[in-house]
Amino acid sequence: MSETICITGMGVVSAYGAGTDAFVDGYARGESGARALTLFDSPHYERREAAEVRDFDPAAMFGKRALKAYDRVSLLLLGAAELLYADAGLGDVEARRAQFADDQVGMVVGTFGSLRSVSDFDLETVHAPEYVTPTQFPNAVMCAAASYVAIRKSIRESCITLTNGEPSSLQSFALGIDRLLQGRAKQVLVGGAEELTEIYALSVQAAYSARGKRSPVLGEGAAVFTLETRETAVGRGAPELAWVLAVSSCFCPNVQEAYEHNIARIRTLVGDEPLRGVSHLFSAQKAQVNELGPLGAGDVLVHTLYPRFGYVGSATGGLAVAAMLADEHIPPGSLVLVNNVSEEGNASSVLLRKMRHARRAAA
Amino acid sequence: MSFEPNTRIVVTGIGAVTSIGTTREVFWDRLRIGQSGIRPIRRFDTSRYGRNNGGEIHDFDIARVFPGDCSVLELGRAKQMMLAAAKEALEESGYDVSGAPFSIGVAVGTTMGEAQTLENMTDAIHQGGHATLPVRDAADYPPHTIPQAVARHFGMFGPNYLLSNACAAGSFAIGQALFAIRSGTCSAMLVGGSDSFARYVFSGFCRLGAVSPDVPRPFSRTRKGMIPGEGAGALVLETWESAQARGAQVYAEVAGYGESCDAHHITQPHEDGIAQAMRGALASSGLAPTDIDYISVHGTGTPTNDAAETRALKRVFGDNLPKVPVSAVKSMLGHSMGAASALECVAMLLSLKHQFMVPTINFEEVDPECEVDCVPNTGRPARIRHILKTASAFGGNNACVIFSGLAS
Repeated sequence: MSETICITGMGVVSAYGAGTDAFVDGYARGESGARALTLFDSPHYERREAAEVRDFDPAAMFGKRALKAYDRVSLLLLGAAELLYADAGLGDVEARRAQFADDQVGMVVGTFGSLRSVSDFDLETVHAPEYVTPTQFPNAVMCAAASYVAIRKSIRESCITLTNGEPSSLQSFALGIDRLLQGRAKQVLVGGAEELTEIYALSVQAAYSARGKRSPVLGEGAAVFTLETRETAVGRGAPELAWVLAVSSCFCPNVQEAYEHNIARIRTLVGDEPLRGVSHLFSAQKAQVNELGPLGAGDVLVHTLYPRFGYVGSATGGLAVAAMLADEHIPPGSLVLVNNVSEEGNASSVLLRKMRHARRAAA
Repeated sequence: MSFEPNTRIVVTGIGAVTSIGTTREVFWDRLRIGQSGIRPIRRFDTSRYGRNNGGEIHDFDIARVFPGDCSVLELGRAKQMMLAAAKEALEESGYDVSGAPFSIGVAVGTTMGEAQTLENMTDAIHQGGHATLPVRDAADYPPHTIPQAVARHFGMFGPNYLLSNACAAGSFAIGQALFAIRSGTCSAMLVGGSDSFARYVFSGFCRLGAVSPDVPRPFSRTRKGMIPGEGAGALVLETWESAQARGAQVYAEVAGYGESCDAHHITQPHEDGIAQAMRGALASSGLAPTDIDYISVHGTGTPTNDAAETRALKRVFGDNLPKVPVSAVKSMLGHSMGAASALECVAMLLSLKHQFMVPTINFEEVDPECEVDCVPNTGRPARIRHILKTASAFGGNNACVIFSGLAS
């Protein structure tokens, strides 16, 4: 069973703002999304700057009650999903149903969930277990954010949450493609989301400290996409933003070996030529591994995410794919490799062919 | 992108760490006789929770599982339990991990990750503010450290997934492993689920009114709720060709798999979604409902869950439902969260092997809303060829696995 898989839509909430146009404009300006940290004031957090999401008003999008019901990561993911479907003209569930039945739409999303919701609920438990707020308990479960999107958008094929750290977004592409290839779904929402809260920042800082490193500048955001087979996309006249040619994922404590295994696997799937033709490579941070050597490619322009969006955990790969689609210096037809190699050795790579720029498609 | 849907996948090893036994053999011996693992909670003071019982594991000691290996002693409990279950499953399978480390991956489901580590962090915050956040705990907490610890310990370098689909996560791990194998990414996957006993989960379910005052009584009219628990379950999945080539013992073929999302309510299950997952599993297996000999349900013992699940079973099995026995393993173990469905899969594979249906214990009275043959209180020998296992979770996430004996 073999199919060409397309990205047909994009929704993003980031330090550049909410929506595709804000993202494309921010990316074109080439500026860092990091500013003075405003979301919390912690004397114990060593960074004073962060790439916080800006110009995103969930109350305007979902009503004020949503601010009480949903935690930050849920709002970011809900916002990105709302923007994704609105851009595609499928904002209204009935409009979506005219093209895809509920049980033909699936979702695979990477997120850590809300560590703040877990921590706050546990603190409530420590103080007064008999009075914890029952309505807040579901938010302490990692799959809550994705489940809220599924409920709101009536996504019924499946709703999967991956909590694999940085590679989560790219792994969501692999599992999303699974649904399409099996014929279980006609459209799958994939991507990732991460929130920036004090407890999350301190835990990342502590994890880095345990490795003798300083915390990176942190960020937050959500980037989600719709995947369809090319046959479905062409059949309904949906924009083909990019083709997903191959995905590979593995774990190996030797991070160079992990990365090279993924490239070898992609070479097995698509042959040597597409890898040699890679002209742009998106990576989270400057090479902790030699990313270019195994490709055997010619001139490759390397784009790094951290300087723009900070460490965004599970949203990293999603923002990288969004950046690839937003970057108008990357012409349609370009072969692009997106990599995530976590410090522990969890590694994912996705090979894409960009078909058009995000803004033009959205317009 | 491609995958091979007809690749046959089998189970060649299983492992279990539970409240009724911390090895596969003990687990099975006690399942057969319907032993309860529900006891007063030891881990924290329950005097203000209004409930007192849990499915804690009191006799698990990682040092006994990995004698002389100091590297496992500092790990969080969810990782320790998962490592122990994985070790048992791998040893039974005999899969040669070292021969081709990238040929086998890991997929683990969890609801909370390292919940007890998180609680240590909360305690530090409670006592001294954020300044005292313990560095080691913060590094141990991230949920993906569970499958990574397994991969690192045993040298399994294929895909590494942490599925956080709450109480159905163990079954979701199986589903994603099937694709990893069928897409040619690897030839085997160590799958399972793990969760440690957590006070905030206990308080949350208590406040939702979902915790029984004494024991879980799935499908009984007198049921009053579930009992939170803990544990880990592991299965080695590999291609039939791989198992055959090395002469491995085979428990069963993973004959079918289905998933769904209710898209209905964050905590309330709905029969539409549960039935959809079962139909998906049946369709992928090529089996009809009448082919199923035995069902392992989610069966938490809450009034809502068991009624919704029964409605879903009636939709799929129709008039044949009374002829298909249904066991709720949680009646014995409690609800071990992300480990639950993995452990229930392990239980069903043992049922298949021994041709024996395990009981739903604590059963008192038939509930007109839940009229199923739940194998009440006493297990029984039976001819079992195909078993259907359902699992449901917060958010309306459902997964269903079908195991078939090879003779069938």
